[in-house]
Amino acid sequence: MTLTRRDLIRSGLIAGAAGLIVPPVLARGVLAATTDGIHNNRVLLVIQLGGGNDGLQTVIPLRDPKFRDLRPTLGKEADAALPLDNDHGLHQNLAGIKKLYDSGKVAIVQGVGYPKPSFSHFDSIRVWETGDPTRRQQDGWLGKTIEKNYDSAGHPLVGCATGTTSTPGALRDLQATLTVINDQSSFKFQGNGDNMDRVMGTLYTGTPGIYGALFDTAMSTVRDTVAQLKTSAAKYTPRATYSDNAKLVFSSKNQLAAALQLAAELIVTGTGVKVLHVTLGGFDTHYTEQNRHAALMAYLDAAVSAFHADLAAYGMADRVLIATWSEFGRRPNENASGGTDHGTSSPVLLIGDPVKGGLYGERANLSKLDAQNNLTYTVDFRSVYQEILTGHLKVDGADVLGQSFERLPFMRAA
Amino acid sequence: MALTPAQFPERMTLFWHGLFASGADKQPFEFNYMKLQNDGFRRHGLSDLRTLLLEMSLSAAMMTYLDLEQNEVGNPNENFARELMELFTLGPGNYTETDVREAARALTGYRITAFDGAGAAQPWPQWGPTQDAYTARIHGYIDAGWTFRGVLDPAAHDSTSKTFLGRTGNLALADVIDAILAQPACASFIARKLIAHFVGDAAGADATFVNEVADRFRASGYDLKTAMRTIFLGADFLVHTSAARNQFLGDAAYRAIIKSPVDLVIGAVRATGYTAWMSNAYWTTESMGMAVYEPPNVSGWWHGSPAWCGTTQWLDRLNFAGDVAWHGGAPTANPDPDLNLASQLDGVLSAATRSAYNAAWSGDRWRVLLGSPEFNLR
Repeated sequence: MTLTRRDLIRSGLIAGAAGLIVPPVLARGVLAATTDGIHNNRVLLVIQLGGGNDGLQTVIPLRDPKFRDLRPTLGKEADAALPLDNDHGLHQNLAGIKKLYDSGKVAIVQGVGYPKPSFSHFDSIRVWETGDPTRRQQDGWLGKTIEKNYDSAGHPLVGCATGTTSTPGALRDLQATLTVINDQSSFKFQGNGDNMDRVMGTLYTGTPGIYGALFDTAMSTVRDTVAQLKTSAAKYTPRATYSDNAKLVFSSKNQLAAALQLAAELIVTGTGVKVLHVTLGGFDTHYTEQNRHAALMAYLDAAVSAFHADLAAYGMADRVLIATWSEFGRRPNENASGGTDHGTSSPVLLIGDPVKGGLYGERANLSKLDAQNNLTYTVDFRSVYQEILTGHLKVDGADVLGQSFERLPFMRAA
Repeated sequence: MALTPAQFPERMTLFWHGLFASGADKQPFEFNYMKLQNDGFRRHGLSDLRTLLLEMSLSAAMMTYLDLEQNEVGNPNENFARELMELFTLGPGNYTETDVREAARALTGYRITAFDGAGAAQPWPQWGPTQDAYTARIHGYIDAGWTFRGVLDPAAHDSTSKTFLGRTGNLALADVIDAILAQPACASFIARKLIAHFVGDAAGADATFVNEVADRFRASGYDLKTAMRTIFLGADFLVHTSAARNQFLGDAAYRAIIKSPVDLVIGAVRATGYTAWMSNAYWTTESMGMAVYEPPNVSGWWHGSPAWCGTTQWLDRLNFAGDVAWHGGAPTANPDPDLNLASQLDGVLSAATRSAYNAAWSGDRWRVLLGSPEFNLR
């Protein structure tokens, strides 16, 4: 039998359903996660570039004279960019990603956005997280993916955010079990922990009452996760060098390298993880953007390169897709502080061995700005989601997104 | 909440914050607007629903969070109008898309205005020199008694005719709220939320009980004290009339709700007398999934008890129990740990809890008690 968290919630709501015992099926441990739901070894890792990454400084329009006109300071980056072709260059600090691009492992979708764009961080983050520009949805698109396709009950590492203390909105779903691990070493029972692990286990055995089963499940899930993380830590040695940049403190969320290292550990030690979410903050570059953005690009490049190299050394790079997203790009014209204000569409990077590399979508057109002097979008962000879901995870994208979107063929047919 | 003897108004304030959700993450002045909104919930949380809805709608925090301040004639923003009906008062299915559009037009033109401590409108504080300095200055004004709230600017208001929930005319905010209050669905919606929060999820799903409370609530002119009295003293009028009484009042309402993180932390601090912990309370409750003033989204927190049982959040609950027990020093409220079973758990506990408690050495007993299933319920 399969008892899902949903069933428990439902049964918990029936007053009088006291004494429901947690069935042994929940005690089978997280290792069994891949045997439930979707049967493939695909993993998705999503990187949020928090604050609004400047797409024009990430994928630079090399030969558009307007780029230098609109951006007297920032425009100089075109000279140092790493050319992808005659018209497009990656930021000079993305050398590792450029190398992956040259070996066909990076797809760049340009001009990704949505209609009637919001310039509020909060609001636009919500749109991207829920996959819903009409703002009717409360659950995140990744959370829904898990709820609809995987049995996360008793398998708390199926969906996991690393390097943060709160559940990212994209992963939030009231009916899925999701885990947030800020620091692996502290994800345990504190203070005489082994003893407390046992004590709490006995305290939550056959708990009576309408929430007894839910409580006992939560507790056994916690204990499983703590045990699993301990095992994973013992089995894993990084096969690439991850280094966090202590000087890069634009935001409290900058622990990307550590978060990716933990993500790699969860993947290579067979925890059953399917969807991972990490965040790099600091992209809200309203002033002195050139140096700050360059530092962020270098940090992103080093962390992603290490993550890919680590997975490759473990022979698992073929199953993992890395996808970036940011709530918006930035205004095409540079402001008086050497920065840029909130904008609209920006490119999405898709990185990994399962990717069919190349440029997708249309190049940002600086001669055809909208009424607010912003870029128009040419690719709906949900088309990117659709291909990630259908082409990579091989789940029903329309079911998660509420409707079907045109696929962009950036995944290899496998 | 940890300190006041008047717990009930504080709980009502928290309830409204969780239902009429606004978040600091979209505010220009960090927590300042949130604090003002919270004051409003405290002031009107037990008065009548009409007053409370007007207060909430024109709070600067809500006007920012749901874009009401950007809603103007010719360029309506439907964000607040929609949530007002869907999440705050009626629930889906009780209005049409036309109602949303018409309400949005009726709600055009409200602008956040600054008032000094005497209630006189003041020019908007000038920006600068930096955002931090500006925020600090706004904070200073609020400390000095200033408020920021919505006022109708006729020039930005759509003064043509609208038709909303059957009413036609040059409607504005008060008309929209009155039209909503005229819907029976409004009384049921609020009654359902109150019952689920104060009695339990199952009681909130019981139509008979909800209707009893909703009828009295509506008949009283939406007096919130009447609603709460009806819920708490429901036995007085439900005698002989409803099976709901036996089902939800009394034994079945006992420990029928999983404590929210705020309930848990406040409860543990009050139980142990370790009030110094309150300096950690914000981060503690945030790690358990409830950052006060920053709900995850506009749907707030009250999604039913199971929402608090995520893996990470659950581990944080238990480690919180350990932290309070270990670092709290000698609890002052009740120095004899054995008496705690009686005072904190009513002496009503499972054999597993009693045995784990007895097996623990004295230093761990608070930890077992605060981490027990019984203490996690209310």
